[in-house]
Amino acid sequence: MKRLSRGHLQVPAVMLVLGTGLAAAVLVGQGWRAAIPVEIVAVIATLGYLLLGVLDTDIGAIYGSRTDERQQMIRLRAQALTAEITALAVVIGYMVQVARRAPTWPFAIIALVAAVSFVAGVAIYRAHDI
Amino acid sequence: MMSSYLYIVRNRVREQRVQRGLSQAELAGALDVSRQTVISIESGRYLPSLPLAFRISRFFGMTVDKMFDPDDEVTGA
Repeated sequence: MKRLSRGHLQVPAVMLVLGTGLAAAVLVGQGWRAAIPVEIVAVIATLGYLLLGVLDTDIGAIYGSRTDERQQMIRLRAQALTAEITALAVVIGYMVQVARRAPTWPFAIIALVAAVSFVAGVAIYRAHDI
Repeated sequence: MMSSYLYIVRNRVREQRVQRGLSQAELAGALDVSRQTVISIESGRYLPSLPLAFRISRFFGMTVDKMFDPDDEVTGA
């Protein structure tokens, strides 16, 4: 078990704030009966993140924001895999929406943001030669 | 171009650590890395960065080429 650090608390704090924001949006749109489960999930996810972050494992180091160079590489690869799978899901979602003759703009916006982010990432990081 | 080969460079980290009677956790603390990373380096699954390779070598009072022997390099698909 590792001790909690200040860095460890930042991501869970953001998770809790965003989860509560989502719950507030659900409260406005659908009422408190729908909002309470969203808030419960946000709190459970935040607590889970905090608990995983104190484990003496690679996952614990990543969740606890105390990675060394090898664990940073693991995190980068995991993030790259996440991005690739998300991009694939967006393309599939776009195709499904086209087939259903449903609005495609949410998927188009996500794809555009992803493409712009990738180009920006290449432009930023090639200058650093990491 | 990126090679499709996996490189495992044998090293003397485990041998030197055991000689000095250090645990993996103690070595990890001295090198400011995780215990899991020491385990990966010792097993040859992870090739440390050049700065970390120098830190390890200096810690044991050896040169990098003695600690990480490129002649012992093992390649495979």
